[in-house]
Amino acid sequence: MLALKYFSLRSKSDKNETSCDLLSDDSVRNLPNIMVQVVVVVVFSTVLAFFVNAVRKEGLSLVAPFPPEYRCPSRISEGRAVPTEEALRLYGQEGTVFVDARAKGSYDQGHIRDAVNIPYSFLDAVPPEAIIRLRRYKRIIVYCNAEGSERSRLMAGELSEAGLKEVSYLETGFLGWVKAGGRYTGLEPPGYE
Amino acid sequence: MLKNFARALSHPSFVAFLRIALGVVFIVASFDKIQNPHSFAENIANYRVMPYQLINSAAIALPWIEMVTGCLLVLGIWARANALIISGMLVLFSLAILQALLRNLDITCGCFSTDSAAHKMTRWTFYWNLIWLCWGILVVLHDQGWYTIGKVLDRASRKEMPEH
Repeated sequence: MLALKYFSLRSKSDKNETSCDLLSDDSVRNLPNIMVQVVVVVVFSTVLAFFVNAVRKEGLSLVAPFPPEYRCPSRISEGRAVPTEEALRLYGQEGTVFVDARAKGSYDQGHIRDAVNIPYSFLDAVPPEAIIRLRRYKRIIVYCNAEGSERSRLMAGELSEAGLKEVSYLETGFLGWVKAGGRYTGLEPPGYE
Repeated sequence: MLKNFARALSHPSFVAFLRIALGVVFIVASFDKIQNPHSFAENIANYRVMPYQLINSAAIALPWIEMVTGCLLVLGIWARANALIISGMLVLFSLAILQALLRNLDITCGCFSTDSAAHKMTRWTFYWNLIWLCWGILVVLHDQGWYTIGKVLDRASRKEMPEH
């Protein structure tokens, strides 16, 4: 209502004035020109944007390679946390396996003794053959570098969703394991003193 | 009272001030997005309204449209057309923000900064967009070409011309 009153007042007050307002007849006739200008500016800006994007090093691909949901780990449920003491107790028991979720390079440098390496990435599902391989174990403990690592937590969740039972993740990671005196192969993890 | 208010709102000097201010807002808003297109693409994706195939293209084009229209508005070149483009963008931004607020998405606006640690979106983000939208509409409706680069240059050239 206020807006209607405002515009009616404007048009009344403009009757005796020479006005350039868009509400006046002259300007209404100018509308096609304005629309042409809109198109010109938008086309020019867009061409400029794509040109700059093409020449810059860190330019974006025109189409994202995969849906953004795949990059968002929050959709995957999380596994159960296992304290280091409990993990130490379970280590070596029949049917228990430790899964190293880190990249192969980190695994090769040092890992929990007898652990298997299945590198985990948020972008890709765990390979089906790895899941088949893990089915023969009763208890699976996933670990990563240190405490608070999202990777092991999410991998444990994904393995549970894949139907594997008793999947959990090592709460303190490889670092906590070594600090607590757990057995390992190779070098100590980063951050160990 | 209302008549005086309407006159004041549509006064050419005031509209010129709004035009320049709106242009500056959009120039400033475009800087970080142009520098960090990857982060801006993630900002757009977080709104969860646009098909992912279009996200990167939007992240590339939108900041440059903001920059060009902002510059042209400040200079007063094709002011109404540029104010119309900006108003259109503000309508889209407002709708995107509104749906995000209604869906309780815990995201950053991405309006001025692409940093994910920047301040979270609130109702005030939406209100500010509406305020800028009103500015844009006022410029579209009432701009009379005051304080434009054309007028300034014209005045300067007249001063330089020798008197006969």
